[in-house]
Amino acid sequence: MREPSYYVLACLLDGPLHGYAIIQRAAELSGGRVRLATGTLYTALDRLAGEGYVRLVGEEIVNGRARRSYGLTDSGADALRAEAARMAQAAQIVTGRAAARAKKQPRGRRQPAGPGPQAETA
Amino acid sequence: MSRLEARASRLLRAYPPSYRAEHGDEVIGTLLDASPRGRNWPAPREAWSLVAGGLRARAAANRQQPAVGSIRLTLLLAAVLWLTWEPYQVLSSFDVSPLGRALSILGMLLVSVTIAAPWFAPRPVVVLLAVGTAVALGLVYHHIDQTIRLIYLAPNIVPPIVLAVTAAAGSARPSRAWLWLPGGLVAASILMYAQGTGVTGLVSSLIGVGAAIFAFGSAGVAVLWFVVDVRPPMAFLIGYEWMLVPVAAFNAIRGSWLPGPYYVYMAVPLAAGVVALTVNRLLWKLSDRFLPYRG
Repeated sequence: MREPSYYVLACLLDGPLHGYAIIQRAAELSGGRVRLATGTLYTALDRLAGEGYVRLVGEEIVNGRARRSYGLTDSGADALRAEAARMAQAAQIVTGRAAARAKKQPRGRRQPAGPGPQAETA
Repeated sequence: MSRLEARASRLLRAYPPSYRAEHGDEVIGTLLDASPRGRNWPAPREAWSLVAGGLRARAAANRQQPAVGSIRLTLLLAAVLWLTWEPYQVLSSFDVSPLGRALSILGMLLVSVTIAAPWFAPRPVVVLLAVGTAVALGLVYHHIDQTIRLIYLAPNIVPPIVLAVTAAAGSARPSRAWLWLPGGLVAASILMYAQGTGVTGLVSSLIGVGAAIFAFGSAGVAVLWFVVDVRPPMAFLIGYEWMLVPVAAFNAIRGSWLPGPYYVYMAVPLAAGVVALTVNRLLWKLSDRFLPYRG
C-alpha cells in the first residue's frame, strides 16, 4: 500500500470525511508532511473504492456543488491494520536494535550522534 | 465563476467525459477549498496532479472498453491513417492520369464519409457505404493501373471492407476519443516525410528510410500509447503496410514470393511495435516512481 492510500484510510478511521477534510486530516496526522494534491486524492479514492476499502456514505450540496463523504469499509479497516502491523514489524528491526544498544550503554556515557569508536567500546 | 475555477475546469478536461460528469463538480470544489483565498491559478502541484490523474483515468477507462468496440475504433483509426498517407502516394505518382487522380480524390472523400458514418448513420447504412467505398476504390485503382496486382490493391480496399465487417459485427459505436488525433496526424505526417524526398531527403540519406520510419514510428507509437490509449498505436501498425501480411501469406501459399522490400515494410512496423511496447513499459515504471500517486 502506498503512502497516500495509507493516509486516506487512516484519516477515515474516526468516521466519514469529504475530500477537503481528508486532505486536512492527512496533513494533521502526518505533522504537515503529507500534503495530498486534489488529483492525487481522487486517484487514490477511486482505487480504494475499486478495491472495496472505501465507500461513498453521503452527499450534500455546498455552495451549489456536490460534496461527497467517504467512509472506511470493514475490509478497508482490515487492510489498514494489516499494513500498520507490517510497517510496525519493519520499523521494529531498526528501533528494536537501537533500544537494545541504548540499554547496554551506561547512563551518562551515551553518545548523541552516530556510533563512533567510543560508542562501540562502551 | 472565478478565474481559479475556470482554469481548474480546463485542467479537468484531462479526465474522461464520464468521470467529469460524475466527479467534476466535487473535484473542483475540493480544489477550491484547498487553494488559498485570492489565488487565481491552481498551484503547480495541484495542476500537475489533475493532469496526471486525468490521463491515468483515461487510460484506465480505455482499458475497460469492450473488445469489439476497441477493435472497431482501432480499425477506424487505421483507416484515418491510411487516408493521411494515400493522397501523398497518389498525388506524387507521375504516371497517374488526371482522371485517375480525380477518381482517387473521390475515393478518399468516400472513405472520409465512411469513417465518420458510424457516429451519425445507422449500422446498415454504414455497412452499405463501406462496401460501396471498397468497390469504388477497386474500380479507381483498376482505372489507374489495368494490370494492378493484389499487392497494390489490398492496402487500399481493405480499410473500408474492415469497416464494413466491424460495423456489422457490433452494435456499440466507438467512443469519441479525441486525444489521439493530433498525435496520430503528426506521426502520419512524419512518416510521409520520412519516406519522401526533397526536404526530408536529408533524413533519408543520413540514416536511411527504414531507420527513419523505425525511429519516428517507435517514438510516435510510444508517446501515443503512453499518453492515453493503446488503440492509436495499434492502428498505426495496422495502417502501415500490415495489410500486406494476408496478401503475402496468400502469395506464399500459391508459391509466389513477394519482392524482398515488402517483407522489410512488414518487419519494420513490427520491430517498431516491440520497441514501443518496451519504451511504454519503461515510461510507466518511471511514472510510477516520479509522478503523483498512480491510484
